Amino acid sequence: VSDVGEAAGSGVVLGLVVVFLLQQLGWVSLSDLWPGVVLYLVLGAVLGGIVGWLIGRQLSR
Amino acid sequence: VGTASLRGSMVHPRGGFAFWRVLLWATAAILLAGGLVPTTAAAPAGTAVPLPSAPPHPSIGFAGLENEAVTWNGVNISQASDPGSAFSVGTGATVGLVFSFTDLGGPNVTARLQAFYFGAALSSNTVPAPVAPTGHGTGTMNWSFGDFTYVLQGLYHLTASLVYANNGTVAWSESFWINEQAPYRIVSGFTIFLLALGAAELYGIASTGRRNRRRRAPPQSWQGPTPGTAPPPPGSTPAPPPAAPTDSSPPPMPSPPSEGGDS
Repeated sequence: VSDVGEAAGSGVVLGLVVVFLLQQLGWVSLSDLWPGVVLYLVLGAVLGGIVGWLIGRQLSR
Repeated sequence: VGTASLRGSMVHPRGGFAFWRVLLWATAAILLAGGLVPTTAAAPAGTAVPLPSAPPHPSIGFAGLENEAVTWNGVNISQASDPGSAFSVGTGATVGLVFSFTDLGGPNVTARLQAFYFGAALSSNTVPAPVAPTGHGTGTMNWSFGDFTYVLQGLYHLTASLVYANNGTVAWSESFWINEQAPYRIVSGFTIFLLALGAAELYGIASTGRRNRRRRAPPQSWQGPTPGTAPPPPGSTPAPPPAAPTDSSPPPMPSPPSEGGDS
């Protein structure tokens, strides 16, 4: 369970990193609360967490 | 279940590491992203004006001013009103902004430029905008990211405003976008930090899989040969393992060392 949780945590961080990278590359704006912070960051964290959890579950089998 | 899971993740060494690592990295990223935005960019010294209580709106006109316009290196900022048409700003570049308007007899105004990040005005620069006897007012500002131009890049939302100096009321404002571009698109401190962080987290996921493979491997694969036994020659059939004891008697205890036997 801890391995799956660790992978999910890494996925959350990776989702945030991807959104920040997209902002740094000029493809996404984080200047405004909506949609910048609320939509992109939350969506990136949730999707990253789900993907990380799935990968962690696959690896722990 | 949630409390138990949370408590378990905080107690378990690997689970706790994952839980607190998420919090630490996310907090560090947000603090770094927000804290590195310059609060006072390299603009000429001007009069500090309190922030407006209401959020900025594009092109709001008041009766006291008319013919308001702001140019960004000679180009009207209305041409960068959406992120797709943002002004490109190179590393270390200083931009000249000219605020112009016609005063209809109201109080003095100041020109202000604000950069927004996470919905907050983190950079605010003001310069006086004196009015000539003809009624034409002008404010000139030189703006750049300053020393942080080597740290930050990307898309940012800016608002140029004309503010009444006596009470801080926004007389007019217009929003536009800039795209700060670092050399080779990635050579900025925050981008390099993000790339390193992403690589570390990818390595973390990969090491999870490697740990599981090690855990599933048979013990013989990592214990190594027993000292004193030669490895079998290649091509020979391995010897069968010793038969397990049929009775349930405990294994023999090692004999105690003899005292003084060697003398």
